[in-house]
Amino acid sequence: MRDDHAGFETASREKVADRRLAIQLHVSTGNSLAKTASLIEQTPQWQALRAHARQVKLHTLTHLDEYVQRFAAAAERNGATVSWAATGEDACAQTLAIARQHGVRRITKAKSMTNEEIGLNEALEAGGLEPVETDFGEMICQLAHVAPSHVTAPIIQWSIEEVARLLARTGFVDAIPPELQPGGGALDRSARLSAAARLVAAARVRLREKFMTAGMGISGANFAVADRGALVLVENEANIRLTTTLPGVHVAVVGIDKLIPRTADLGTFLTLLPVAATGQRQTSYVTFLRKPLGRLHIILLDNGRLNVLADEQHFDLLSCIRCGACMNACPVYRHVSGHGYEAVYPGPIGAVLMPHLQPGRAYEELPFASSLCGACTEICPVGIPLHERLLEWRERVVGRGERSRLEAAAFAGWTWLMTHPTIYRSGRPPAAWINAMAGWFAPVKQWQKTRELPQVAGESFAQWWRKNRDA
Amino acid sequence: MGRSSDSPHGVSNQAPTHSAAPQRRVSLFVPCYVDQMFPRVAQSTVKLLDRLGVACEYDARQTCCGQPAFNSGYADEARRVAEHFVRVFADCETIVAPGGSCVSMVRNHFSHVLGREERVTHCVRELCEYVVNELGVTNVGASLPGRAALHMPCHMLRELDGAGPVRELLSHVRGLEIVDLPCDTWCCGFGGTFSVKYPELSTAMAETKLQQMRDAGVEYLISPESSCLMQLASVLRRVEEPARQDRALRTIRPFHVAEVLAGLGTCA
Ligand code: SF4
Repeated sequence: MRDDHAGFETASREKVADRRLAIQLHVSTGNSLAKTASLIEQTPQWQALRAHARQVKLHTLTHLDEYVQRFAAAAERNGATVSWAATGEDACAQTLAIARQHGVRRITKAKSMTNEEIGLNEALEAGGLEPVETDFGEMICQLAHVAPSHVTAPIIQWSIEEVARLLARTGFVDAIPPELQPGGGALDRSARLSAAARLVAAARVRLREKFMTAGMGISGANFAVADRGALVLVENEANIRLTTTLPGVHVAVVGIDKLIPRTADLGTFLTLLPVAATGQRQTSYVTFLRKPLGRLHIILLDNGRLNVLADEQHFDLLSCIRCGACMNACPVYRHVSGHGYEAVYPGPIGAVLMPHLQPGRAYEELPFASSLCGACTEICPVGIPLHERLLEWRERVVGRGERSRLEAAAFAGWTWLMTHPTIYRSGRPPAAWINAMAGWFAPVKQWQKTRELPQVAGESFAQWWRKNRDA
Repeated sequence: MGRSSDSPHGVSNQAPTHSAAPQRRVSLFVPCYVDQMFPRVAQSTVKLLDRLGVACEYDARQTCCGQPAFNSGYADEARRVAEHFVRVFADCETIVAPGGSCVSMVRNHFSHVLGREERVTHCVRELCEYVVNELGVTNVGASLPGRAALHMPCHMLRELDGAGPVRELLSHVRGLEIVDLPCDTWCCGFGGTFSVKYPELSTAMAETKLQQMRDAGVEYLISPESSCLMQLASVLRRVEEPARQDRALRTIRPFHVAEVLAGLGTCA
């Protein structure tokens, strides 16, 4: 998919060098995390809800074929057309065919990571169609030709000023509001916010035109409820509602991981998702879409998900509800942003999911790019033990002999030494030698690139103990 | 919980050194990097436990808990080192270590690494946990005047009992004020081989944390984990040493909790 994949080591280094990026990300994710934390505190049943969500998801995943069938049958009874797509290309081709069949040119699009995953915009454009992103953040990404850098906050690293400049440059608004211009007294927070609100209002007028003239709307879904054949979509801007109801044709591309068995389970997920995602008790709109107004095509997408499902150790990764909380909590994400990962799903969940969805070596570095602090596991609303999955990936990659020979040899030597205590104790050269020679070794050189080297003590604790205590 | 510090040695009156009871004995587990690079932390541990009436034993056959290999995906290597650990500590009743990360490795990950349950995995205690939860001592009579930030290692925070015991002990250190900061729960960026593989990223993580501490004007950085302190101190020295020369910058001094509690009062 990404031929230009530079690898985490290279891409992240460039992001780390930009200190402003980390500052902006820490502010944005910090605000979100603080709101989430305070809501969790006010929700005494939070842990019970998490456990319930995990149990429902694991049950669904272990009976997925049954629920997919049940969902498809119920949705067809409701009047939808349900089809299956094994790959992303397949889903894109089906969408394109539906558009052609209805003679559509302009297509409004609701925010959907699944559609990012399969590269739907590129496919539609290549087919001569005009896809229009209608979520504000996604719209900015589309105008700027960049990928979203977070699953729920696509332009998390942008300042209001940058957004204003882009909108003016692309003709989406007539001019940059004066408060947001350089030297416009932009330091006042409330002035900036009101200018931003005017900017959004102006963009909304432009989008309204697109909504009214689009022949087709495309969305994903947050949940697909098997018992009623319903799609559930969660949002704050109402663009999803307009996308799914205004045009006469609606295509929903739904990953099979979105299934939940019963409408009764929705309460749990609709409580967890907004709190974890944006620190809101509830989002502004929840759309429960059952009987279509016009034509509704639901494309059920595999695109690697069945492989994850077949993985006994990792199938629970499919219980992810894409809230993005693990990204907010992750210290690595907070320094490199989504773009440092060069993956549709960044952050901790991306690091464990991407090597499954796009096998091959490209994403297998990601599980190593973590300090294993466990903040992701702690926050995940559906209880995925993300840091354990990271560790398991490392074990798999090492087990296949895919790490460097030097590293493997170093660990072999170290293991031998650690299991031969007499030699470990007696064989140590004087500390002064070690400290003087340390700089010759590659790992030490790496350490010293950015930090001072800690020194080996002249006398180890074991030596001190022998002298002072053992006598 | 004992809170008084009137006893001659500044130790809580309720320290369980009751004359009729046999003296408590613990086995020390000194993590490999503490042994080689921060022996003072282990010496402080011995000194503190001495003062609390706990006798320490130390078996010099001990090496490492296997965590570096485990975290890097080398399962076989981790298992062999873990087996060595189990052999050395097989007969021990209580094992105390001045470092939460290795304690968590033994307690939470050994059964997985070894593929079986071992009695010793239930015997390991992090130093502060042991002092507060098992000795019932919260005031060890130490003093350190100044403002400090507390850095909790991720493993202790999320896989052991959290910050409770450490905070409890530090709250009774005379003159010491622990400043609460948003960065208290952020990772220091060490992560073993992670810090070597991604030096810029690892350092940036430390630097983001340290900046908040500088802004808060703390004088000390206290942590119950030497590996985190090693990372943070290495970054501090690289960043601050050149700066200090031209603008008399005040440096943040790193301490291990054991050093503070034992009253050694010198830099880690
Ligand atoms: S893994 Fe958990 S925290 Fe991360 S996006 Fe998915 S549901 Fe949210």
